[in-house]
Amino acid sequence: MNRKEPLIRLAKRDDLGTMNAWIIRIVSIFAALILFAGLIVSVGYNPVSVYVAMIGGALGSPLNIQQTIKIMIPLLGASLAIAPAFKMKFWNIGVEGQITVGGICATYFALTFQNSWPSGVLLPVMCLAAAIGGGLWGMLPAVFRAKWGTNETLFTLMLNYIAIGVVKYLQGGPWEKVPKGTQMIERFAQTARMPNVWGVTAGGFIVLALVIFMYCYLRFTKQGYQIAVVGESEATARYAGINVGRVIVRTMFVSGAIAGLVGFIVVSGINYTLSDSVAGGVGFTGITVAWLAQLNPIGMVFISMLLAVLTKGASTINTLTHNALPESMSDMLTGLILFCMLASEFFIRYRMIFRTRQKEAAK
Amino acid sequence: MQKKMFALLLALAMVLSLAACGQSVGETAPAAEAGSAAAASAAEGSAEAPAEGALKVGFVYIGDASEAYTANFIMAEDAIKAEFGDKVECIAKYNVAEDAVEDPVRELCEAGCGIIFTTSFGYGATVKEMAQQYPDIQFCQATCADADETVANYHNYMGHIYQGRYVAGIVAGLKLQEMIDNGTVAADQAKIGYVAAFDYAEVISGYTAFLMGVRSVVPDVTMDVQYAGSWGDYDTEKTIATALIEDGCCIISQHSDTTGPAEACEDAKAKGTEVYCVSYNQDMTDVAPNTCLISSRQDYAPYEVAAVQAVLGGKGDTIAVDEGAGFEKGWVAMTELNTAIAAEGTQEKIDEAVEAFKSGSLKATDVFKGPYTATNPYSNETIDLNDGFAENAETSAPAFGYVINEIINIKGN
Repeated sequence: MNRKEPLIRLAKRDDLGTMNAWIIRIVSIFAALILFAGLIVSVGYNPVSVYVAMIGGALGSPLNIQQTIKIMIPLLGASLAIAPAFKMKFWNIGVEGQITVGGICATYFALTFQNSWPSGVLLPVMCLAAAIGGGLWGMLPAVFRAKWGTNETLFTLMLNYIAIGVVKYLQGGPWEKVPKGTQMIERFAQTARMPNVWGVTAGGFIVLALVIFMYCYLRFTKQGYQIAVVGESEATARYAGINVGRVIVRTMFVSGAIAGLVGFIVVSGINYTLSDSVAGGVGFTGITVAWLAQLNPIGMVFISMLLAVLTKGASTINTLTHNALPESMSDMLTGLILFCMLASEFFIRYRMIFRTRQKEAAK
Repeated sequence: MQKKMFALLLALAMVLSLAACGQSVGETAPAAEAGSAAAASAAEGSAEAPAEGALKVGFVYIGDASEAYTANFIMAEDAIKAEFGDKVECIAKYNVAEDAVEDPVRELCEAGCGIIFTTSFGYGATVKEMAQQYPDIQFCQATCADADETVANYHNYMGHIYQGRYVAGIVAGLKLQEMIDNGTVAADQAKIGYVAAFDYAEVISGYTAFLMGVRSVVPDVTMDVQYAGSWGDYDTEKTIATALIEDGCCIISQHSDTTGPAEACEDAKAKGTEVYCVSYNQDMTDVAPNTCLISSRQDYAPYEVAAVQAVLGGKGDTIAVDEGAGFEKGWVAMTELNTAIAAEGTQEKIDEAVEAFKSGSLKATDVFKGPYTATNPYSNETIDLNDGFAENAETSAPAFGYVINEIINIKGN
């Protein structure tokens, strides 16, 4: 063997346990924090004190924890909605719109019946309407994909803008509050508001239930198995006798319905009104969460908590520094974490073999 | 193994060195405004820290200092700091969306604020609800018209801005008259353009007062209004302004938050079209030195300083339910006139009009007056303006939500 060996060789590895894989992922989060520290220093602040203040702002008092959980609830819900679709390799970029449609459906019943129906009737109806509305909105691109093979990424993405456009029309038109011209919908009456538990909307429990549901659904049910098979290979699925079109449509209904529920939780439990920013970007951030959690619903709980802490912490930092450190720094940090965690997948799949070590091993 | 240890050590050293430079959060950043007291808990022990027991004053802003609307409120915050020094501790929340106002306000309440200024219209409904949950804290909501006696600690405030708009109109009118006299534009073709956010009473009231100011100098001028569908969208505002200019408008004004219209005028003038602009809330002569004549602005400092004074004196309950004022109390102000381009004698006319508002010889019923019928765009309800409309008589927020279709042409998008 006379050819010079490269300094580093890569070999696929399959001996890495789940535990070690997660250690690498957690290390990558710290790597992102260190990279970001450089950025903080460049604006003239001490990164350690910034991080400490961020954690204090997110978790330092019961109120802060409540507010962090409030950020986490829709984010976790959105990532749960994404999970079954992505597992099927159906790239549902439309959760933002599905949340919005859920919010519209819930708001319709809230505005129409808030003064005539009791809460006990109104809230379940709003909840159901939101789930069905979101589900149908999600099903639309699935039907097109199943029947005509349209590109679901573009289709779901475009549907977001339509849903948000509809809200813009409603808040500046038929649902606008008096006096007109404000582009705002009135705040719901108490009957249409979900109660709070420990200072956080009861919708949190819906999302927690969804975590368990989604975990079991993907892992233990026949439908969950079909989703996995379709995701691995549509041809295999077809060969195994699975009606691929049906699985796609059904799964997207589930995905959209969960997103719709998130819309209900936001309008009825958090904002108490509908606006064009009802989804507020969680439909997209949820993709990050779902991806970082490897589509594992339990993992999503932790990742969404991490991002919620970052968001809340960044807002605290923004206040403490008189706006010198922008709130958008949480987005930058999230991006860095995503980048580092995706990079870490490389080290999880491959091991690097250095030249010297190789020689020693050869001896 | 040794190498690995060495690498780890290096990494550790790097992190520590990063930590060593840079300063703690809460100390004023080198770039941040000097003199501002350090904020919140992290500031304890620093030399600038407010005195023990200082009154915490909260602010909730829709944007930050980079936007005219919020910059204007921040000037009032600075005035509070200058007036009360270490007797107050200011805590500001920036870039708070209208449907996300609950959490920041609750934080300010729990942080121990004695008074909180919430500065965007859309916060009102939520803040009023929260005022009921925190009856010992005074809430002052700008530009909103929903305060009443039922919630004693919730207050509204806004300057009588129609006065500033009218004076700005006079400045524009004088310039327009000069252009007519010079032959730049034919008298029967003179018209002005207005970039407006929405067909909301505050906006309609503002552009009507502006047009009345122009017509007090050039009686037959008409105005094209186009809605941007946003309170602050640079591209849309600039596009609309450019379209208005191409359509023959020789003066552009705005009720929107960005410099888009001013820059559209500057661009058009550089290409040979003579056009001028009158802005709002911010001196825009730095971005449009050759076209921007003047801006009218709200000055929130007199109100906010007085409200903080009241709470400091233990008399928070004396803050009015709804308070507004004009030039006479300094609540409305004009930015410095751009004398390089303004018509001759403009400053004198400004002073004259401001004095007239101050003395009360010029009133709302003189501004919103003429042989016109105005129509509410939503209800189609009409009012007769022969006797004038008493703007701000009931609320500090403008109420004139009627369009004078005879002289104002609403353009579709």
